[in-house]
Formats: sequence, C-alpha cells, structure tokens
Amino acid sequence: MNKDPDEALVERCRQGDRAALGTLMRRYQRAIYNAAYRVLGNGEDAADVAQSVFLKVAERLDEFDAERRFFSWIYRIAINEALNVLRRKDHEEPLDAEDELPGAESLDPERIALAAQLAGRVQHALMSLRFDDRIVITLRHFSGCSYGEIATILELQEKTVKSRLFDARTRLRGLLRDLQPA
Amino acid sequence: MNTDKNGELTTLMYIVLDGEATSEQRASLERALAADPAARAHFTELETLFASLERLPELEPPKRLVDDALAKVSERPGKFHQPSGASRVSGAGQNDKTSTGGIAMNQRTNGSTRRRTILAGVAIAAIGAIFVGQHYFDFPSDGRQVAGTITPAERYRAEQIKPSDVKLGDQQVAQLMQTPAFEQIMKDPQLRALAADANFQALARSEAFAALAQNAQAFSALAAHPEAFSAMAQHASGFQALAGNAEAFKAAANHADAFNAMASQASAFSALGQHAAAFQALASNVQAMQALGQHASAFVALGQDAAAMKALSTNAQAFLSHGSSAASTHAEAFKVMAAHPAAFQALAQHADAFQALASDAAAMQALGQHASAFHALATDAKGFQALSQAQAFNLLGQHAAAFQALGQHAAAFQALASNAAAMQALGQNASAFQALGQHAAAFQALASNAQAMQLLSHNASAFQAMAKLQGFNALASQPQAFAQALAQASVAQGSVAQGASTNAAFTNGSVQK
Repeated sequence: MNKDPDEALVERCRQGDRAALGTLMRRYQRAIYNAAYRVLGNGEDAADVAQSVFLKVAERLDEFDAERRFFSWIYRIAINEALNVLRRKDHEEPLDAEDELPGAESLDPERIALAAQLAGRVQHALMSLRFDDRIVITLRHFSGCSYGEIATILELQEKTVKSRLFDARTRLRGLLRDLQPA
Repeated sequence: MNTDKNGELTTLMYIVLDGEATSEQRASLERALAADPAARAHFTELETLFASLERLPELEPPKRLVDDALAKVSERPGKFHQPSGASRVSGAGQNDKTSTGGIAMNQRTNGSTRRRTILAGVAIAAIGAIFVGQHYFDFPSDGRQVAGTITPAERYRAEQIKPSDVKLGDQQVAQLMQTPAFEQIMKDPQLRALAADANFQALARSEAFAALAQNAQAFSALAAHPEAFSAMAQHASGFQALAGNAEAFKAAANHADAFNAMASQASAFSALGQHAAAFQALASNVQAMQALGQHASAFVALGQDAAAMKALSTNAQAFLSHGSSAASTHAEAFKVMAAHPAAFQALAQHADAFQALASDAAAMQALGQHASAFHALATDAKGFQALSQAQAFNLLGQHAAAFQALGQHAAAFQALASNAAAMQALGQNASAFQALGQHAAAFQALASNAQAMQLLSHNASAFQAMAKLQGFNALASQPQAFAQALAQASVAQGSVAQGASTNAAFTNGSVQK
C-alpha cells in the first residue's frame, strides 16, 4: 500500500487538531466542489454537498479505515452526498446557465458567448447522462482520477470502470457529436 | 473503421487518451492510425470530445466554504467542538445560499490536490531517477520524445516511477528545487530529452511547478535552458499543462524575481513564443506581461515570432481589465511596457509580428477600451516613436477592422492624437483613416487637437481620405482646428481642396462659419 499523502493530517485530525481539519478541507474543497458541480450542475447544490462532506468527514473520521486512501473515502462520501441531493429533489435539475458564467463581466462578450455556449452544451450533455455515467466521467475528466483510483472510490473492478467509461463516453459522444475539432 | 472489432480500437484510443497506455499500446494505436484514415478521423473525434471536457472551467468554491464548515463543526459536539464564542469563524449556515456567490472562472488544473501532490512527487522523483539512470548507469533513453504524435497519452503517465516511490511533500519539493543537484539537472545537456519525458511534463502541471516558481534561483536555472521550454512546448499536453496550470502560472507570475528570471532569458522566451496556445495563457496574465515588458531582449525574441504575436493578439482577455479595481492594474501593465521603449522598439521592428497583432480587431478593441493604458502607451515618447516610425504602424493602419475598433474609443484616440509622432505615422495611411472615419466620436477627439490636425494635414492622401468620410462632419464642427489644418494643408500639399470638394459634408454648411 502506498503511503497516503493525507495520512499525517488525518492522524492529527483524529487527535482533535482543528487546524489540521481546516488544512484538509482546504486541500479538498476545490476538488470536491467541482466534482459535485459537474455531477449536479448547480453551484448551490455543489456548495451544500461540499459542506456536508466536510461535516461528515469531521464526524466520522474515527470510522475511516487508515488502510485506505483518504481521497477515495472523501470522494466516496461526496458521491453519496450528491446522490442524496438528487434523491431529495427527486429530479435532476436543469443546468442553470448563469452558473456557467462566473466573472462574465470581465470578458469579451463574444468570447463569453462562445465559452458559455460550449460549456453549457457540455454541461447539459453531462446532465443528460445517467448518474453513474456522470460519476465516472467526472472522476476521470474533472477530478483527474486514474482507472485504479476510480475503481477504489466506486469499489469496482478496473475493467468495470473501463467498461463504464466506454459506455458513458459513447453516450456523451452521441450528445456532442456536432462539436468541431478546436 | 474497418479495424475496430468489438470496439477494441476505440477502447485502445480511450486508454491512450486517458494516459494509461503502455508504450506497446501506444505503438499499436499509432500503427492502426497510420493504416486507417477512418480510425484517424475517429481518434480526432475522441480528442475533440476530451478537449471539450478539458475546456470546462474549474470553478472557484465559495470563499467561506471551509470557514463555514469549520464553524459548523465547532458548534457540534465532538472532538472539534469549541465553546460558544471561541470560534473566530462566523457562522453562516450550511444552507446559506449567499455563500455560494463569487464563483470565479479559472483554468482547470487537472485533478485533485491529492493527485497533484502525488504527481509532484512522482515528477521530481522521476527527474532524479532518469538523470541518475542516464548518467550513472548509462541506460538509453526510451526515445519517448518522439512519441508525441499521440500527445494526450502523456498526460498522467508516470511509468518509470511508481506512486510508491513518492516520498516528497510540498515542502520537500521546494527544498529539492534549491539544491545544487536540481540545478545540475537543469543544466544538463540532455534536458531536452528529459523534458520530453512524461514525468517532466507532469512536473509542469503539478504543485511542484508552483514550488519551483517560488524559488527564483531554481526557476532561473530552468529558464536558462530554452530547450526545456521548447521540449515541453512541443508536447501539447505537457506545455498545455504548464501553460494551462493557472495556479502554477499564477505562482510564477506572482513571483517577480522568478518570472523576471524567465523573461530575462530571451532564447527561452523565444521557445515559448513558438507555441501559440501556451502564449495565450501567458498573455492572459497581466503580471507576467508586466514582467515581460521589462525585458527588451525577451520582447525581441517574442517579436521575431509572428505566431506568438498572433496568439497574443487573439487573446483579448490579455488586454481586458477584470473590473474597475483591476483596470488600473491593466493600465499599469501597459504603462510598464510603454515605459520600456527598447522593448517596444524591438516589437515595432518586426513587421510580421505587429501585423499579426494589428490584424486582430478584438485585441485592438480591448486595447482601445483602456484609455489610460493607451495613454500610457501613446505618451511614452520614445516607445511610441519607435512604434510610429516603424513599418509596423503602417501595417496596423492596413487593418481596417482593428482601426475601427480603435476608433470606437474616443478617449483612447484622444491619447493617440496628442502624440505627434504617432499622428504623423497615422497620417501616412489613408486606409486607416477610412476606418477611423466611420466613428464620429473618434474623429471629434482628433479634431479637437489642433496639433494633431496640423500634423495630419501634411499628408494629402490621408486628408483626402478623411474628407470623403461621414466623420468629416465631426471634424468640421471644430472650426479652429479645421481652419488651422486646412491652411497648413493648403500650403503643404495644395490638394486638400480637391478632396474636400468631393465631400458632401464640406458643402453642407457646417464649416461655413
């Protein structure tokens, strides 16, 4: 088992070190927030999920199996929290286009329009996929996880991950077939 | 595709694009692509899909996300509980929707912090391992620098060194950067091959690069080797990682000494300038541009590269401010650049490069929106003189769209008009005037400056062109300037009347005062 880069921080957290908890949260806030956003397509929900994840991490740290990687544990929590949000809402929210235009006032209108159009298209396509598809696409493309890491997070075999990615991408390609090469 | 049975080839493509392919798998795919045009088209389609996903911006989490979470944790019973009032964190609630505001668009940094940390360690370890291997055990390079035809495959691959070899934390990475060994690596003649290695490219997109950027000495050592930049730049994924890693780049740009170290390496900058996509990333960083403006030699290298200038010119964001608070910063960047006439002169000497810049209306429009920046540019006598005396300025004038964009900004144009040398150069170009003439406000700004008009009047062709334009009305409304210019023109050229007589504006009575 490779050494977990978060191990020292996790250990300090277990001893009640609040500063270490803050460091751990800061280390993962961007990754978790963005992953949640890509799965849920909504900034507010993503922020809620991220905060819920951090609270659960704080509450359940003693349950964390130190033989596992912390990142896979926190991602797993994040996925479950995202799923909970979807279940609570009982439907999948359409993309809020405004969420795709942060800092829009600082950009050239034409570029904003083009970037927003592309981002909106892709995010819409993502949201059109099944939750499972979105999860593997998100973990691979937005969280930068390897096949092995995705397998760990989702508790699947690597070949299953590859298969799911293949299927998810095939469906995504179908939705984005008209995109032209850059 | 006649070779993709049961999706095997597509699967192989995905594995390669995911950066998880072995060298055999990559070679296999290359053979398949070489033999089958349909497979190549399919691969291109998949690359497009990946690229469209890559281009989605990374979003900034709410600023108070962690503070709010910590406050919540403190309120709850448990090991992190703090008595009421002990926390310094205000307690915005978990469902406080206002805390989700302020989302900002960033370049995506490819993966989680955890992953970046691993890659940093892997990359540094790999550099050391490859270096030691090549120099002390004399095993040959695997030649992967020529495997770049399927560049996306390089993204996350780190085959030589397993994650289990990673022992370095961020602090240790930074410390390693400061060691003589690191400098020795950077000075090694085989760095080019090393830089082509996926692990080195991983370094470019890792936190290690940010650590590197924080160390001017180490960065200087790297910057002393243009082949490193060049090699990285030749690999789309590697250099894109470098240029596309907003945090790393920001870290570099935020460290003036480090960036100056790079900018002072003209040859390195030349290598950088050859890669448009990378340069676009650079161009979007005002601080980096400021640093660049201070180094004439870097600017010379840059100016020799039309493609780089084109990249710069097509990045309107480079010229745009980010809200009112940053507008002054942006103007300051131009001011810094304009305050270095040697740098600007170097640019102006390269007609091709300047043509590339001038041909981009969006860039010019962005520039034109910043009167203070333009003013800084225009009022730097030596710098602007260098520009205005050069062929480059004439080339600028040949781009009507760019000049039209400029013409929409009267304040900016006023700054231009107050610069005698610039106006003289402008006056020599009739087509520029035709473009300008479509904007009355700009013309008015021009017309209100008698000195500028005087200078213009020395150029009959420009004046003729001007006289045929609808903007002439604006000019005509400034009788004093016009009279002065007209008198001057009559003496100098004797041809203004001919041009004016063809202009309806001239006969509509607006100047018959």
